[in-house]
Amino acid sequence: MDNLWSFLYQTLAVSVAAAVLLIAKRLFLDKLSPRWQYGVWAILALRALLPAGLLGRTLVPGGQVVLEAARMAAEGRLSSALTDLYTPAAVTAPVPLFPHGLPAPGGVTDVLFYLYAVGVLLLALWFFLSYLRLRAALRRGAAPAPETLGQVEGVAARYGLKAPRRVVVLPGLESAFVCGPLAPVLVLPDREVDDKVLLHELLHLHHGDVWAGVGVCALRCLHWCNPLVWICCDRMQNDCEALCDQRVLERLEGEERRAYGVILLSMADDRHARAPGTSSMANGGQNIKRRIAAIARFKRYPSGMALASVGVAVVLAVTCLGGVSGAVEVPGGTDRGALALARAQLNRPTTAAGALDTYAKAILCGSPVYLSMVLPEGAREDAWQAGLAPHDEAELEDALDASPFNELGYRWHRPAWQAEWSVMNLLPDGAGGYTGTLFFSPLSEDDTYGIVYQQVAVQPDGDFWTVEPLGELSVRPDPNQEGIWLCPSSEAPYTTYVTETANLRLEVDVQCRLGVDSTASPTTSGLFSWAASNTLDPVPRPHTGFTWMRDGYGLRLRSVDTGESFALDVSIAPMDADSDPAQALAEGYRVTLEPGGLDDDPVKFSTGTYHGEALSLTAMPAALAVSFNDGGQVYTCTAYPTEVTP
Amino acid sequence: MNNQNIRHALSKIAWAYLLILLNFRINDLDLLPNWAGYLLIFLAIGQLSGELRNLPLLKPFCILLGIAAGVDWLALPLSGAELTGRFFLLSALVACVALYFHFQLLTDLALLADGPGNAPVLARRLRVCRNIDAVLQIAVTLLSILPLPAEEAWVQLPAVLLLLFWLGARVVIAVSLFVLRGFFPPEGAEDA
Repeated sequence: MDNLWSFLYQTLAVSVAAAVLLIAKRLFLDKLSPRWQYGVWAILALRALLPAGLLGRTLVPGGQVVLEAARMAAEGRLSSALTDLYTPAAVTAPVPLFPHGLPAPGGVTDVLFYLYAVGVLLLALWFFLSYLRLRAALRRGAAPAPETLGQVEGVAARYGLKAPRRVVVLPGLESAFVCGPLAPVLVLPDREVDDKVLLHELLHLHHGDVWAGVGVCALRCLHWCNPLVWICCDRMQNDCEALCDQRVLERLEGEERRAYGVILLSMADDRHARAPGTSSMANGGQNIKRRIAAIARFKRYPSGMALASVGVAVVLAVTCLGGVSGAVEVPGGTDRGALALARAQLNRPTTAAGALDTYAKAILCGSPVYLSMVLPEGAREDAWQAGLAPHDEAELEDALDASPFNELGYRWHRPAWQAEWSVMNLLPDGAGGYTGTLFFSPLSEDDTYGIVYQQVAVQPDGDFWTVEPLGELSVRPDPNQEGIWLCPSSEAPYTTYVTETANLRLEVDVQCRLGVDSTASPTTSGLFSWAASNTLDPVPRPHTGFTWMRDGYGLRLRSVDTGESFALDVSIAPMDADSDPAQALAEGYRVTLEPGGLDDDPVKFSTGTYHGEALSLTAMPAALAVSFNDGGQVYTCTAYPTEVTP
Repeated sequence: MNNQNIRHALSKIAWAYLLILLNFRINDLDLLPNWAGYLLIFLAIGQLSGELRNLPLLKPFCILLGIAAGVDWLALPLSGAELTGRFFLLSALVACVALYFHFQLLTDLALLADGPGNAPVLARRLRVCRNIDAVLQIAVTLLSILPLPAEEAWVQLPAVLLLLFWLGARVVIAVSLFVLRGFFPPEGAEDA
């Protein structure tokens, strides 16, 4: 938790788990044993230790969107030093952390988070000092009389328990208790103590309940401002005492059980001040009433019920710890406002193909919300502000009129222009990203011609990918209305790879066109279904891979000395710059070419169109492995890109 | 308590198990509604309360499960999805209640089978079926909660097998209850 929002997200998850457990405990109050009633709190303890949203799971579907919208609405007006406006709130650890030091607060949310962190520290300090004060008081306590010590040892021996190493008598004490998780001390009042009270405290010692008390203190500290957690902590401590009562009753017989109830009743009016790191039989009148009600229900729970108890606990544990998928729906093309922006920010693209699909849909829908998902941080501000403004129909009309798609007569089917996008020749930029040309072409059945294109840079940004436009959207009309063939074609960008032997110069033009299939089949049924045309699915797929690819090749072979052309079959395979070409040709994706240009027969100079869920070949290769047979001599060499034709 | 009452109650519970087990849907309308099963069990609990003192403790859970089943029965044809399925926390709580309810009900019915002059073998069978039913119910509930790839064959096959085993266990329970009914002959028949 490194800002207010991550704390709210974490405490919300803990609160939901607490509410579920409280309801379940109420349902099974008189049906499942005190062991179950106490043990089930371990689920809450684990929930508090696990960061909310771990592995993309959530307990509150939709809760993260609301929290994110509130965060963006609040932080948009502030200049918080702890919260990045464009990074969704996430919980990295269940405790407050300051990974970037302690910067001066830049807004009220920073102040509140500092206040929360100070509260955690102060409460922990208060618990610790209370414990130290109690230990100091114990040092002033008297050693017990030999008969008292004998009584303690006798009770321990009778019930097969370990006697405490240290027993102290404290004058003025109302009830016995155990103090200290590491070096436990049994503290007794300076009057006669009943064997059953001693048994109760020895059982606390035996089961290490003081350690559970330390855990409860930690939970109170971490969620000190969450009243539901405090209620649960109180219930946990009471359930611990109720379980100890149950353990005592299991060891007692007949009249002794009734006498134990009478002892508890006598404690109902005792002053109750629980110190951290202790366990005390007297825990307040209200709690003692509940414990007496539990004793009234006492029975030795049938051993066969263990299976049902464990089953219910397992279902609750998996529900409260695992939750459900936290995947958030991508907003619609015309959605605007804080909630839409929140859903957009929780769906930032995680793949290069997803980023391009999101950017293309943003262009086709004219959606600032989609742009805010994919633009790099520096360029995101305007899209962000436009996304917060409500959808304006008049503004949309103006934008449609001025659109390059309108200029070419593309079909508008709300909320998007009907076009297919593809990217040509993604070239590595040396920094983990790519540059390429984004093309928009009409859907195959539309009677529309001409293309729209734009140079773009696709770059990684932490766990996400961004798209930055490198130029304006350009229009290329198609006056002949024959359709523009993009691959293989010298009209579209290609990269030339060159290699030379002693007497041959070999040039390979390579094109790679990639895309994500986004057409939706018509949903019209009945008589007119045949007439319905395909439409674009306007919702981005931010985590998709490329689903189709088409390649194109041109090959030229010339004599180094005379410039004369040669006709030889050449095998090529894409590879890394420093790979072994022979190995790439033997093991990799291999294509055999004969000389010819990109504008020649497109069937002959392309290996075709490939379809798949996530194509692994996404970028232009850094080098080509080349192999050919010239005069009985087999040449194998590497061709490097020398020329990019945009 | 006369045998006639016990016979009627056991018949109701056995039919209830079959009603809860079987779903026969026409246009999302279940013609064998689960709520009817819980209603039968509710009536049977009243009839058996003299014989099994702890059984009435299950009445609140029976009402709760009946209401949940009734709401789902209405929601399915009206909205296309069960209501409890839309809220996974509610769904988990209902699953917990159902798990406990069936476990305790079968525990009590096994006690009835254990009674004097009755069928200890049948009681043992009921307890075994009760345990199997509980384990399979937990497994099926976890399958629906855990983030498993539902379309993968390694998930689908065990899921189908689990469901088949579970259905089998429930059928054996229903049959055992019909058999148990035979151990409580009508008073007239006893005299004869």
